[in-house]
Amino acid sequence: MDAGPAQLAISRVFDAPRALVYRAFTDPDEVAAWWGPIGSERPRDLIEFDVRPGGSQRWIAVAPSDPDLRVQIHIDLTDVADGRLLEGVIHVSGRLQEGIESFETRFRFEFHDEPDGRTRLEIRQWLPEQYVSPSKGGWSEALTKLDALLAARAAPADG
Amino acid sequence: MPAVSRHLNVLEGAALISRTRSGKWRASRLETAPLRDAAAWIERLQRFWDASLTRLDAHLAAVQAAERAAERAANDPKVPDNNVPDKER
Repeated sequence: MDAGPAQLAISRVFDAPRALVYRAFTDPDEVAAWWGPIGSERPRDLIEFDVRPGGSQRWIAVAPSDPDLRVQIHIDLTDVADGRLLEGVIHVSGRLQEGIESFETRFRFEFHDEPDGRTRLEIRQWLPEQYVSPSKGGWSEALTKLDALLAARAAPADG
Repeated sequence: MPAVSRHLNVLEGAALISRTRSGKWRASRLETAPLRDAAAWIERLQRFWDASLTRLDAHLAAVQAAERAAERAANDPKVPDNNVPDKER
């Protein structure tokens, strides 16, 4: 997998023990309660979780105020450390908001203990392929080549 | 100049610039669309997480308040069928 730094990094501390914050991401009833903006809903009977390395999490998000909206979330879990780490790829598809295309993003959620029974959540997400590679080669290759060229120019001349 | 030319080839390959030829001159133009799309995606996700995590914060507070209330009820000697011994205070 891509080892480069994530383009999206979010850190947030919750006044709740780590087990509870981890459960919020791995228990269907919990995810139904909070994931997504206000006004969005996740019908409980459409949530399917199999939380383990190689497992998956699936649900549908709808919004009563916008009947056209029906977002399918499908998470492939590549790494799971109970209570501490979730890692994998989130696939977002279905009928999305206008101007938004389906995408896949690699993600990593880390759960860390903080003093006084609090928990720090670290979210990392990597740009979807369609933005990384607008054409053949893409940014990463282009920037790697540029790095190499600049390094070569900065190095002392031979001889 | 060859080094600059190679840089420009790389940028053109990544669709970050477009180039046109006119006689011996080649004009290069910065293509901002790929960068703009990527920035828009990141901004959208930031808004998504900000809204979601604010909800999560409230949800976690509600869950813990409910747990504390249940615990108090279980420890309340006035509640009938209470088989949890009263804790020392």
